[in-house]
Amino acid sequence: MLGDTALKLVHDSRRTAALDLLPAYQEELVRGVCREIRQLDASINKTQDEPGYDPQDRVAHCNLLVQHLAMRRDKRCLLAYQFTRARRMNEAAWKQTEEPNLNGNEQEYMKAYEDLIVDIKGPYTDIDLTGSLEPPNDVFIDVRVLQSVGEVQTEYGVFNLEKDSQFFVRRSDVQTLLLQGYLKEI
Amino acid sequence: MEEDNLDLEGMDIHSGLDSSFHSPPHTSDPAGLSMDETDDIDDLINNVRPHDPLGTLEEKEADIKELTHSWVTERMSPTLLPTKEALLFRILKRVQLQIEVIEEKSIDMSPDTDVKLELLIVETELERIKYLIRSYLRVRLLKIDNSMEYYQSSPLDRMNMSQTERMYLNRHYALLKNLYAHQFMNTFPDSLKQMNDSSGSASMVQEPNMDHPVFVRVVKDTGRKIIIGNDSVKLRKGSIVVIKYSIIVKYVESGDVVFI
Repeated sequence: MLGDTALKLVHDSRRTAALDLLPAYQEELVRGVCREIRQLDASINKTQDEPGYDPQDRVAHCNLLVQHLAMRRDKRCLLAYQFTRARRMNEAAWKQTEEPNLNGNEQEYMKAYEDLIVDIKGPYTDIDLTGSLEPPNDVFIDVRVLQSVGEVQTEYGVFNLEKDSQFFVRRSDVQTLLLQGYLKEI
Repeated sequence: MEEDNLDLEGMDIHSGLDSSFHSPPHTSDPAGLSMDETDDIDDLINNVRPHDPLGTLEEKEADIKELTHSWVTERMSPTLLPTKEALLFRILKRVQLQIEVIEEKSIDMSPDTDVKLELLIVETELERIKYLIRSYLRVRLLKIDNSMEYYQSSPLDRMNMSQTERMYLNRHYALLKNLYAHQFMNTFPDSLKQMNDSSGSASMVQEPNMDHPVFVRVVKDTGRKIIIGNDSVKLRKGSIVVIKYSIIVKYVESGDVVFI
């Protein structure tokens, strides 16, 4: 039936909301919806080009209207599907995490968006726009070293991060090491 | 004739001096302020120069209060509010200076532990301010992202953006359009290739939801009554109301109610 393929895309978007990572791009479904749009367009043109076509005929008019609406609905679903994915890519770009299941165009989009983030950060270097959006609580924290890192230079001097040692450091200085699992907050 | 020329030359020199006097703050302007706004800031700074080039304590505290208020309001309202560029510019300058002070003080690390405690307090406060600014700016960017077609075609809303935000919108919108085009739009019949097509049954434009419910507190006694269908809400000072943004927005703008 008309719109069935597009509905599957909407369901996929719905499912995506509950997933941590984007699922694979539904190439087949998207192509299917595009095909349906082209078929509808061809059918509309054919009806209008027929010798006996009468714009006043209510049956023909209704037929055209339904096809128009179906076509626009298909387009809306495609936009919504891709926008859902784009929004997740935006989030990942801000958090500097990866989205492994992108297709070629999406990879290009995300890379370009990452560049845009770098440019928008420029005027606000002191703020670090990509920083945490959680309200800050402790500026300084106690950390234990899980895996030796070696020497780390901070404004408070040099720390030699040997395995199993503990330090009182500024959270923002070790944020990356915490995320990578070298350090643990205690 | 010659005198006229001399006069003109004199004026040229004068205006040349004038513009070079103004250009340093303008070129180093991180927030993309217009000339008028930087002039305002210059005036403001000059007025208080004898005490502190960055403003009096009262002014600084008022700015932080305004920033907190703007942050809450921006987070609660579904549409983009007018940019607070001048305010941000003032605070960012102070943040920069504070960072320098911290760096200087932490280098000359004396055994005196009071310095450490002082730095800890200053840094904690600084992190809070930085968080406010970051969150404020990111919320605005997120609003732009969610309704790019809408903001692209709404000159009134674009006026609420800073120059940086407009640049961001233009570039991000171009990226998204390019993605749509390559993923599926290019195969569409010409009649469907428009991005900002809001006619007919399914609008292609995602608009901010003006009917989003918001929490507000009434801070001024207006005695006004809002009528919604068969219900009515009286705006009594101190009362807290949950209401559609579109209904309350004019009272937010007049300052009769504030977001909480």
